[in-house]
Amino acid sequence: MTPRPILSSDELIARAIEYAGAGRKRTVAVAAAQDVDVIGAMAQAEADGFLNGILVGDADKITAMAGDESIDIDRLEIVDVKDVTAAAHHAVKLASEGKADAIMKGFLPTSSLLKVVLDKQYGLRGKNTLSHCAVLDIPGYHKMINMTDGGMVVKPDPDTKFQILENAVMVARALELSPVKVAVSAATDSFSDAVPHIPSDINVVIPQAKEKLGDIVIQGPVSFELATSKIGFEYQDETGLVVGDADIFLMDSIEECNLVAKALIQFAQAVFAGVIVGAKVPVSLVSRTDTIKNKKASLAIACILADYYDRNKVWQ
Amino acid sequence: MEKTAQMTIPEVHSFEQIVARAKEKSATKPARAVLVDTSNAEMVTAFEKAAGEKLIEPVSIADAEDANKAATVALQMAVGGEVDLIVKGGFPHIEFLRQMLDRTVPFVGRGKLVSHIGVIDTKQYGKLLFVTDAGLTVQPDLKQKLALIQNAAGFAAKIGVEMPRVALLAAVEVIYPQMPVTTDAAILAKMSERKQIKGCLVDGPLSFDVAIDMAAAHSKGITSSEVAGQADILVAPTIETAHGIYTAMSLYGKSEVGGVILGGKVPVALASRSDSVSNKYRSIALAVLAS
Repeated sequence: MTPRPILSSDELIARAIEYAGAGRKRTVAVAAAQDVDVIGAMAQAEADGFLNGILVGDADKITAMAGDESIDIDRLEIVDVKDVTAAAHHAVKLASEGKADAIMKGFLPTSSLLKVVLDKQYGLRGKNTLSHCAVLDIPGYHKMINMTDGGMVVKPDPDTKFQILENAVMVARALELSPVKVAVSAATDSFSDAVPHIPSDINVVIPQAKEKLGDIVIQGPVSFELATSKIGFEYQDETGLVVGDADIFLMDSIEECNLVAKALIQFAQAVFAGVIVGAKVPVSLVSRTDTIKNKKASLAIACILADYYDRNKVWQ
Repeated sequence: MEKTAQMTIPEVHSFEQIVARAKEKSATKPARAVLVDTSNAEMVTAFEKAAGEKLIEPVSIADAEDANKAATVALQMAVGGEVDLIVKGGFPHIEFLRQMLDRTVPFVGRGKLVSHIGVIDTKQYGKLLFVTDAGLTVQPDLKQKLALIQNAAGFAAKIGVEMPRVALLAAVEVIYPQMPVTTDAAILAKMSERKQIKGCLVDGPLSFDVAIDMAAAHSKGITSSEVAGQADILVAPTIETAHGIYTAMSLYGKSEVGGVILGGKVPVALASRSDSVSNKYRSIALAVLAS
């Protein structure tokens, strides 16, 4: 089948709807669903037709919140579990039993939820570390770029960085990108020889990626500028197919990724789909300040990723 | 409902003002400028425009075709007081830095930190944003961060941003012992609170949205900071972070930008690869004001 690459946040949501229409509607279980923003996003996504939702949490609070904000939750299933940790366990258990395809964070800290996701009794651990993918649709850039990791791993060593990349490549496969173009960040592109610690990372990650991950083009060190723009490119010595056309930007630190992504969200009106990858089910989280489109895109990417796992028997 | 604090807008808050001020300054005392390497057509155009508009008084170098030699000569001219600023053209950044930091020149005084300051004018914010260091200090330690703050705050004050508000950026706004970026920021914020850092207000760690968006700051419970939601200066934890923010803003953030290296004998106008002629011209205006 010819790959149909997903290149924008609109296409992302449309594709999730298409899969659902083809009889592959995914179920998302919310852990501690007493959070009005999460309830709103789930109701919207359900109304758009791309997921079934199970709200695990304090039923009284959920109903009251939905009532106050006039959110129609009639078509979402509610499971009444008042304690937040117990609710997290319940949602994760649904996923481990195959009754949910993705998990969404509600009213509890991310770290508390992930601890439950990684709890051995549920068997949802993958072989890689958990990492966050921020798939950004930046107006002015001709495709989406997956910036990682700006949310999970504080200071990745080269092996962890490879795992973060492998997680991101899995998302790229789910988005049907081929070949996957990966830019690896380190200092500025013209300045790499003054940064001894970074090329050593790159010297580990890039050969490993070329050996183990098929159908990718990888290059580094590359700056954000070089990863997404060819302007002025002739003045530099860098060559390669990734320049100005990156699908994945593997960044050097949590700060770099988080800060540059937020600059793009704040000032470039970038729509972002965020998902935590590395477990056998995608974990979705949205924050209060996200726009409704961000929230829907985040849920859509979780559904598309879950669909990819299922169709390709990734974890079997 | 608590009243949302208003952002303080400094007197100088746009590139139009910067360019106008730079021209005024050069009208009284022409800023003598030398261009290193004529191989970047956009920078040459920007330099000629600046000369034509009397923003600078161009000083030429014999042997200008040999960029390597031109850089040496330009730095020597700066040390000898023959030029007020240097404009770096297409000459490779790393080569230029190598020459600039060479102690035998001596372009940089002992104990001085040279740093790059990018200036961003996005009309969405309402005032200028300064970001540092996108050009030189790879992974600043605490002492270097202090120098970065002082270089940037001194420059901001010089162009008309009085008592600039300095945000020490991090991925989060809480302090985690396992994240040195956050602990460094906390130390510097405390130093500022104790008035150990003069001429600016410093706070951190602050995430990007909390630094520049008052509503985001308040939603995170940060209500008493003099910096959160209204930062003038963003100090990034690494060079690629600063460079990433600067280029994200110029390429996609609908911003006018310019950059300058400070801390040497004279300022150096330094644009990024993808900067347009207009933005390269803005870098020259910044160097004029810094001179």
